[in-house]
Amino acid sequence: MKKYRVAILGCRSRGTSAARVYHAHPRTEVVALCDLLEDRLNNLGDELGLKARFTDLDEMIRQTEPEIVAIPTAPALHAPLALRVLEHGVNIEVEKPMGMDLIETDAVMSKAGVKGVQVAVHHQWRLSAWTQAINQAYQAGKIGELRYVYASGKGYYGGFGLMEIGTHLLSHMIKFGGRCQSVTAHATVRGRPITPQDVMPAPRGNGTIAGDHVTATLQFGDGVTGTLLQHRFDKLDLDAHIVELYGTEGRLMWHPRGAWILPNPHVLPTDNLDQWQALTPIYPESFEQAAGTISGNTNMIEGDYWFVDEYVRALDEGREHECSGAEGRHVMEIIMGTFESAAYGTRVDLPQSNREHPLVRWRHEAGLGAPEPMPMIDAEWLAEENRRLGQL
Amino acid sequence: MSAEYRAAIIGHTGQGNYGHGLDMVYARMSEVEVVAVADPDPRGLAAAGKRTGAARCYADYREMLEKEEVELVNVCPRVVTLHAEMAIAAAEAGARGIFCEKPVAASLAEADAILETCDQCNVRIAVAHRRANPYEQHAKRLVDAGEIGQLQVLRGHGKWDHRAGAEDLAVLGPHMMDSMRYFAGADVAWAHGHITQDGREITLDDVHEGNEGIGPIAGNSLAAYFVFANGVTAHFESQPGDTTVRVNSRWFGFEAHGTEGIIALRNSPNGEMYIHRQGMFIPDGKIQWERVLIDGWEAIPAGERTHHSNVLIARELIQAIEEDRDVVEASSGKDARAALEMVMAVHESQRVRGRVQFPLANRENPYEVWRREAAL
Repeated sequence: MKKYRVAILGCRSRGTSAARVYHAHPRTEVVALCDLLEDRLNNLGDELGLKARFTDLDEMIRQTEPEIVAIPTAPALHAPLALRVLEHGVNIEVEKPMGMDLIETDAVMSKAGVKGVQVAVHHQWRLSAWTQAINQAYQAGKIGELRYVYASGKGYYGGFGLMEIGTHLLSHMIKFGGRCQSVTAHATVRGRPITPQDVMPAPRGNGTIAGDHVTATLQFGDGVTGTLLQHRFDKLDLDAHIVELYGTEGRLMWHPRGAWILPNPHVLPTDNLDQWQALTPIYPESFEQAAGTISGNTNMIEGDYWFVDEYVRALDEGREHECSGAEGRHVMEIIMGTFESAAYGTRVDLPQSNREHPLVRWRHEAGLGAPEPMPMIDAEWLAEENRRLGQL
Repeated sequence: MSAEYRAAIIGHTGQGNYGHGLDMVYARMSEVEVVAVADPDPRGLAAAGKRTGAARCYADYREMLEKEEVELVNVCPRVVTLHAEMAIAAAEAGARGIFCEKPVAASLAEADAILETCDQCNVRIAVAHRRANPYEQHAKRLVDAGEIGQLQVLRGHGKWDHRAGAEDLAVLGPHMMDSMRYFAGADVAWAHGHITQDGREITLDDVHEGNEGIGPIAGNSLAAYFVFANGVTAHFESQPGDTTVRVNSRWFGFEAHGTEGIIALRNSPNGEMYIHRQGMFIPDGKIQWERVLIDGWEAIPAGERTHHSNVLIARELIQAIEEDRDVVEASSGKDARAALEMVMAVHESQRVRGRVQFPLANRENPYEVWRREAAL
């Protein structure tokens, strides 16, 4: 069986995870690593026993001719690096979000189209073992017709959460709800609606954001609607990180560590809670054997593994990855639509014709220049934001 | 002991009758004597006269209001068509308090007219919304005391029965809107609604007269989103559900989600209350919902709780009259108008395809405006 040649661009934590999974999967082999920091490069290269180590990505691609390049880098570099890699005519997987605005994501998709290669966006939760279980029950009609999708983040600062976790949740939501036709959203800071002064750079360089609480209502086709909550909590709550599907005959709930079905559309506290049934996770055929060889195994590994497995099957079958660039771009359209709706107070029909970042535009229209730089590290960023709001 | 208050009852047999037992609310209130009842249906009138013990019966409520000197008037019919006329007539006739079946009116313009007249005549109004239920009152106190942390989101749902969508919103929605606004503790700043019929956007062809005089409605599925002035948000959904199971009344209700817990209120006016001591529910069995029971209320037979709920409303109405203040724990006329405004906002948002600011500029039924504009 053909093995796909994979190069890893960026050897930090997500790059390391990606490299380990591509290395463990029987249908892929890691042929090269690239990072500007030689320590990181050598640590991962030594772990994988790989000699092809580069600090220049173009050189890496020319010399090793990968069929997939993984780009698990800092968010601001996703699109610029994707464009550079795509220039070589290589399939890519890019960490989410695939760009910082729609201009970037459009450019990536355009370049991929010209070069005739694939873009996959690393929305691994959409393919995780628990999502597979949810999907199996859903496709079997266990909850009847889908009516409503509810999703919540785990408590990051709202706008940042939207870029960081909302991108995953939205990928989940459109998997079941289909294309989002319009979005209406609300964003507040300390309980008041956002203003152009609240627009700022996100932690971790994750784009331009606003709002510590962001709520989006989504209108899909066939009368399906959805709600996405990205609310800042005082303390992160992993249990808040859910996606729930409401059907005419039942409900399905996804969580990073579990999945459940209720064979009844109505939850009656204490009455039918025992009817919730835990679903069994579904793993790729080769996962059990491969998982034992993956060091640093975390609960994200199975999602990463599914992501790689899906890439192999997509390339084998000559079709798009389920987490395709088109899907990733649509996620960004919803995110940007959410910011636009919250800023301008309108219902935003998708896809939007104006591809500029709506918060940047909003700030500019208010006569404000670029926002002040903010720290990259979460805790420092929050401390700075608290200071700005007079909370310290 | 002689009664301190005299009450008149307005019903309409065959047109919403006497609502949810509003005619009998004073049966066990010794401080109130029902002196007259009006109903254009002769058989219904005779039965109501006997039932309520009213000394005099009238076919015409206007004649009754003209001839009887009463402090309290109950506007009972479920059919909302004449609520405004009846309430205004009662206020102008000198009533000091009006107990009205929900929804308070068929349109915001009508609700405005009721409130304007009542303000001018210094008349108090209480509307038969369900927040007066002891479980809702108890839950409200817990929320205000921080029992579930900081209140963030309210999630309401109708019965999702054969009335799913617009009728569910119009008939049962006012209860939820009133309760959610009460719990949010603020007025709505803006709202957004999305209404569909069989999965597609509604058109004018889908607009039809709703039951119980609620006016033109459309759609069998809807999702609504409200943002209160204090940043709390609320959702309301009504979608076609499984009408073969009889859980609808116990599903009907709302959840108050706080940063540290959730309170679920269901099945009002019988009332069911649950608390989950974590901000998000996942069915992994680690944290269970706990049912909260109010012993005194549970001791009342289920079939009598609607009556007792009505009594709580009536008692507060009388207290408000005596203290010259608005009804607070029960739903006042202003609260009922605000709840109706939330209902209308969903349709108005669908009509204009965008969020709508409160107070709504359009005080007519949105579909009447839509029809008129389409005819131009």
